[in-house]
Amino acid sequence: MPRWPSIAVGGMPGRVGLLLVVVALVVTVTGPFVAPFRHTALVGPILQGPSVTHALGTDQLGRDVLSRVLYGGRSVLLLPACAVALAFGLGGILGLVAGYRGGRLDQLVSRGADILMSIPPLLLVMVLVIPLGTSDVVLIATTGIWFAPRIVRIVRAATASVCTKDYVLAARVRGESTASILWHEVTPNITGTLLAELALRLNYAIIFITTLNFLGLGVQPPSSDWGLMVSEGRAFLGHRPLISIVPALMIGALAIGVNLLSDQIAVYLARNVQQSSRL
Amino acid sequence: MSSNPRDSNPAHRPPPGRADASPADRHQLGDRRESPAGFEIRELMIAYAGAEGLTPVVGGVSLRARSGQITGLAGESGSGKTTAALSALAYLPPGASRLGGEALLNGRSILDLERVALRRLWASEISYVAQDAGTALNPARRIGSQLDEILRVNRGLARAAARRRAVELLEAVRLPDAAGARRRYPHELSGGQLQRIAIAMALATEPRVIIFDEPTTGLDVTTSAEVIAMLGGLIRERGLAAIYISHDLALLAAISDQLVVFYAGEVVESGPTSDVLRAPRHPYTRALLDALPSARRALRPRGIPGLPPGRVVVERCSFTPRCPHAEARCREEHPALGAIQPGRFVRCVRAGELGPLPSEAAPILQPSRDRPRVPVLEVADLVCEYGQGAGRVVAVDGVSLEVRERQVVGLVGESGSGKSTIGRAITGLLVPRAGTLRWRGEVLPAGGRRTPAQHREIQIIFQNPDSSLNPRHTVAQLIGRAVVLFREDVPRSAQADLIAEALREVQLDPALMSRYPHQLSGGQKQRVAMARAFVARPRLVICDEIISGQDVSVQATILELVRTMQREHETALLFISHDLAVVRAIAQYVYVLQGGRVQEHAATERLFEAPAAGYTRRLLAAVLEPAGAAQDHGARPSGGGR
Repeated sequence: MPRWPSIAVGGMPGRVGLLLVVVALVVTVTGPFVAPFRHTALVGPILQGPSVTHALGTDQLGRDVLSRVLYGGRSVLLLPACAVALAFGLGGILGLVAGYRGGRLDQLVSRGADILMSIPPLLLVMVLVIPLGTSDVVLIATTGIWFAPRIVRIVRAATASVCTKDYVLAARVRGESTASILWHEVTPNITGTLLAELALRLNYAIIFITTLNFLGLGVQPPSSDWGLMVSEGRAFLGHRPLISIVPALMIGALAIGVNLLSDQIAVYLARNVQQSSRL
Repeated sequence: MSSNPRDSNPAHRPPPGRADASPADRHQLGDRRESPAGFEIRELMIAYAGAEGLTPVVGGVSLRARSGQITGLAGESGSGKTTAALSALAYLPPGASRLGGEALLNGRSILDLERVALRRLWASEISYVAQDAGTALNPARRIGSQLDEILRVNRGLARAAARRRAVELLEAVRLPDAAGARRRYPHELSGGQLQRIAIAMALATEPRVIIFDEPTTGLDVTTSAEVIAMLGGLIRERGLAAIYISHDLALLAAISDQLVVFYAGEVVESGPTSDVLRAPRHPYTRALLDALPSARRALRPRGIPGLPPGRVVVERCSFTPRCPHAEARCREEHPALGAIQPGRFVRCVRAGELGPLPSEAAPILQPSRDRPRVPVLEVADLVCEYGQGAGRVVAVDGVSLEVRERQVVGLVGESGSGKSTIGRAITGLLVPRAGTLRWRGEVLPAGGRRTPAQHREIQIIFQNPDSSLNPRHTVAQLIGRAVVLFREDVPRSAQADLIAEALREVQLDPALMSRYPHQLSGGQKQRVAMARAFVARPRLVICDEIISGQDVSVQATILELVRTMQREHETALLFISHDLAVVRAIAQYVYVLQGGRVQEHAATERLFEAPAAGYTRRLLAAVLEPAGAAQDHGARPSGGGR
């Protein structure tokens, strides 16, 4: 059994990553409860600098910036997580089956993935968001569909290479079902690849969804969202930089933290298997 | 003069921690301003830095490779032979450091040279041929361009001259169509051809020392015999000092002039190859010889119990735990390497009293005539193909064979003979093109479908346990899966006991249950794979090259074990192997395959004593065996001359 704590304690990058992710999580989860004001409440004069009542000042509508930051993590954290989960659910299963079965099915799945990948992401957004609106479900589905073919490719390749191993043949000789072979024999051996990919995709999803929010295709005002805040505050960057810099820092911390942590996990998993005896 | 050097020379007791700095070693160097031609290693000590400090792996090794001769280094993996040879070229493996000693090339010390001088030396006077030539060549470049590059960079030849020289070299290693091979990419050539090219590349720099690290492991018997004969000629012709590392004593017997046996990072015996093998004086050398299966005599190979320590042991004789002749004093002091006659050295305190050690290999008992047996598996006119259209390869071309109850059937052939394909077709992994498979009278469906009972009854053990054991599963999970699937008779609560029992049966400690495969040795992994196959209570176990890739000593123990398991479980075995000697040691009936067809089949004794097919005779003639393994049979295969 892996000793989980030792993964992050293993090295400095892992510890930093864990810390950053935990900070972002704590802010997002507890934020709405500890925020001094509601994120939509107009509580003071506009574009104030930091003061005792408004630690980070107020924005262009006179809303408390700190409160908005504390409220604004939900979509940055939740939407990418759901989108990536959707992409891995779809892409992972298709990739596993295509990699294991090969032949016609593999051709079909792989070419389908190629076609989806050839569509530029913003075009995909326009096709889906413009007629269907900007609800969370649409955002998750768009991001998930954009990512799924990439997951298919990676999982398919990893699966195909694992399937050349004799332990997969041994399982077939035992008469194991396909599902059992994929779950017991293949999945544990591609976990490292999957985790590295998961972290990368989570990062892209965070950036992608904040980009959509920034462009106004995602979460709509007056909701609070870090990406949206960066967008709204950018006009006042010279005068009141905190309005956009603080949420930008939060996005950065989350993205870097996820990356560092996942690198550490991948290293840990690889080391667990590859420890070969010397001589 | 006493045969025990320590008695005759008590003043020269080795200082503690430098067990090998004995006077005997200096004698062995033998030169004392004698002509320095050749390569010499003096009291080389190498240690690895690890979590628990320095681990000595080479302890004061001295040896000499004379020009125009081949010096063989023998020993199990982990005996330090490769580390010693590479370190002597100043090519230390990562994490290793030299604690002492030197290496002399034609009398010149090389280990303390500057990096630049060392690189010049590597580029011109020293060459190394690795085990797997395929990975040493760049797959994206043609052979010619890789070979020319060496000649142009290291020898300073012009383009045209390099090309001419390259063709000469390829001809020297007897590559057919040398000019044509220059235009090929590595993947277009066979393993034997690649190994010849690797040797040509090693020769290109006109080195004075050349180190071969198991260059023919992985080649077919006949190819390997050709490469070895070619090598012996080249080395003598060119006056190279060659060091040939191998765990295969039969091979070293054929090729080497001097033999140095390594154990636990030290030389335990050395001398002229024929002397060492005909009259081994160290129990380890004897044990290695007895572990070799023989294609020419009906002898049962004997395994060496236990594992080598993997490090230098200084407080006692390192071989004691595995030695049949060990006594109290062997555990109390570390023996020095002593001369028993000029040029012959042994590291054993009992060498004098024991004398040359006789073979302890027992003859294979002829099976008593027992009840007539019913066939369990009948294969008729099996045809298997890979690929489609123009790229179609017929791997098995009309093979018929039969395996009876409790019978051990050998299936022997070189690579590409289709032997593994037959195993796969029987298990249902591969859909045959034509032919019928009958299992206990019932026809097995061609589509590869098997009933649960058939899945249980037909088990397969693969060649490489690194690939056949899922690295993410513990030993208990690996065997447990077979228990869950095939042993409905065992209640859940008793499953753990059954797994422990299965491990004990293959002579593994049940405490290993919680280990992952990477925490086991190669031999242990293969035993786990065996336990997994036999726990299902099969009627037929297909053993697909299950002992190749293992050390000789481990091979013999696994062979013994599989035989015992077969008898106790009353299963039939289909034993697939490229090694005739191994098949002779285990099988009762043998099929010889070539190019997907059965060339000959007969009871083992008859096939080996009076082979009928020309192909079988050729295969048998190519098998290398040490002449000294027993008293009879003086003939050695060509290439060994002295």
